[in-house]
Amino acid sequence: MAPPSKQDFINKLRLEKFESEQSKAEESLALLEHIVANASWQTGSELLTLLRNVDIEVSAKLPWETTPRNMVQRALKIVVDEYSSCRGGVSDMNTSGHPSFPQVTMVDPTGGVELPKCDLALPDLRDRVLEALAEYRAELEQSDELIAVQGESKIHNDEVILTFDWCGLVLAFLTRAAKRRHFHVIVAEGAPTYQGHRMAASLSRVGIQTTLIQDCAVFPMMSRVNKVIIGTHTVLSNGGIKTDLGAAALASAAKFYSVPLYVCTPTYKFSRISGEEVNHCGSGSAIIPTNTPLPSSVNVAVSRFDYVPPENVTSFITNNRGIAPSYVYRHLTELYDPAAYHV
Amino acid sequence: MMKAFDISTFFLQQMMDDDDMSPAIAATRALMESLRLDDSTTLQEFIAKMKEARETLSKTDVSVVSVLSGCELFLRFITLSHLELEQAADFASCREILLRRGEEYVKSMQESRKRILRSSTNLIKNGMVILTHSRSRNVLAVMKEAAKNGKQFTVFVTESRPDCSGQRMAEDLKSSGIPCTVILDAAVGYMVERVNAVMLGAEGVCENGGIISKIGTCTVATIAHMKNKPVYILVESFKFIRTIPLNNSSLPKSYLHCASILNSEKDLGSEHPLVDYTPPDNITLLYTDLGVLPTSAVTEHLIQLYT
Repeated sequence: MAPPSKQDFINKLRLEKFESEQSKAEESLALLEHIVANASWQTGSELLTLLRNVDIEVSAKLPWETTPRNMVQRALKIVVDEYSSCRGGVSDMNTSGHPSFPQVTMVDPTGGVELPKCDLALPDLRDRVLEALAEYRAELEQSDELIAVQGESKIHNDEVILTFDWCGLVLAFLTRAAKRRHFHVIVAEGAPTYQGHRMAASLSRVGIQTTLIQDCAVFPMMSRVNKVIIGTHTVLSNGGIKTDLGAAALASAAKFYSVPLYVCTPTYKFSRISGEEVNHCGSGSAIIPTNTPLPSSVNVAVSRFDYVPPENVTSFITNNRGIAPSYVYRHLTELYDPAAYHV
Repeated sequence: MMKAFDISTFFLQQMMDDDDMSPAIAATRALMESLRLDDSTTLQEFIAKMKEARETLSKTDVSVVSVLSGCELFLRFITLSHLELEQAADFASCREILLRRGEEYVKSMQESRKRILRSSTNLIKNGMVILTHSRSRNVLAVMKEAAKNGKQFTVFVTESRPDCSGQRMAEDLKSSGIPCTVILDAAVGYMVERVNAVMLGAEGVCENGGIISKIGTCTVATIAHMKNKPVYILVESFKFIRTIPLNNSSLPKSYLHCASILNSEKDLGSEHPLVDYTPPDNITLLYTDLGVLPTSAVTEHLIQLYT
């Protein structure tokens, strides 16, 4: 197999050749492992710069692809941690002049320009980083299973669950629960891609009683629903989510009827961006079928993402545990190094 | 009492010389000055004198909340270096250490506004209509920076009685080329539907994420929250204080009225309060020198500072 290259990876992202965020995560990790193992670097700082270049390039060309960027951030934290434990815990890495109060931050404004200083060339750094990355890879591969397993405890008999569009993780979650519980699932079809049809078919194949509804019927159905369970594209640092179109309306309806909304997400989707900064606009052909006579004076606007504010999300179901939206900022400091974020 | 006299006048002089300086920074600089001139011979005496100095500063008529929190943090920071202090041979070298740490701290406090500018780079977008209340130095700095970077936006400022500092804010904004209108305090309900976001400053940030700020802030934030407009607070981290007021009635009198009124024999019931308390549910995000924090992050930061 050809060695992974940054350019190939970015092209593959641009042409949307990945089937899921999980495969994006795995391939970005492979790219980062390749850089650590094979690129020429001596000191920790050089390695951090090399890794961060991947983040900078992806954010310049495809800013909405947060999964590869999150993987880079995680790798940076791993390198910084391994470096400091190699040094025996002696810290010479205070970021630029700020007195050493430990910082609980989402975006560190003094960072982004200077990475933590890891100037020594330590001989076993390469091996230790590769070992830590291999551990992280194992964690990554298990994350779907760890989330699905929580399905049994979260869903009770005779409940009505609402979901929308296609999400492999939610499918696994519900399939697992269906082994021990008997419940109904309502699936919103998710126009214009209609991936909800595929979801409904998969659910009924494992014996779950499924109903397919239109997206616009979500509000009237919501009063009969016990829980809403969805996946997401990205989790934002303020606890909100950025996900497929239709989720915002779903979440507002759930809030109105006080129905809890759970988001199944692995930790690599937790991102450091806040707010709804990027909304990728697709082409009009996504919603208008070809050969439809539409005068050129009509402007067709197609959005790619929807933003759900943190008030509408009840909890995130992740590999480790359930996380409340107000706790997300804290979780980010465990996952990523505050100084290494490129604004 | 030469020293006590010195510190208050020094403090007020600092405030007059540099209008842009936050009162907390001026207060810590005054404490630094008195640290330099101090002639204590033991650490105990020194700390007692510093506490006295802090009390004296809080009796001036400048915003008590930020002065007290700035001084508290300054004193904690300089005495927190216990590892070095324990190894010091005598009080003279202790003083050296304390002086050095004090300089470091004041320097970083002065950098805090720059850090706020950095965390707010993406806050103001083109075409935005912003509502602000009274005159906050941080809000003014962020808006000037955005205008300098070519962002086009309009601002509505409340007049903010009784001192009408909103008028001054409007003049400062207009001189930077930002289109700006002064509105009556009572017109907030009328204007809020035209506005995209609300930006406010604060004198103090409570442990639960609520803020203590110029009177009228609570009204603006509550109305904005009701109408689903985001409310952003721009504040430095040295204004974090360790209180959780339950409601507006439980604010201490020393915050509500200035020192000269508290000391005079006037009936406090008929004096107008200077500040009010805005609960955290009405606040969307805090833009601080530590980054962009949700209201739940404040208590975490305070615990780390004070333990």
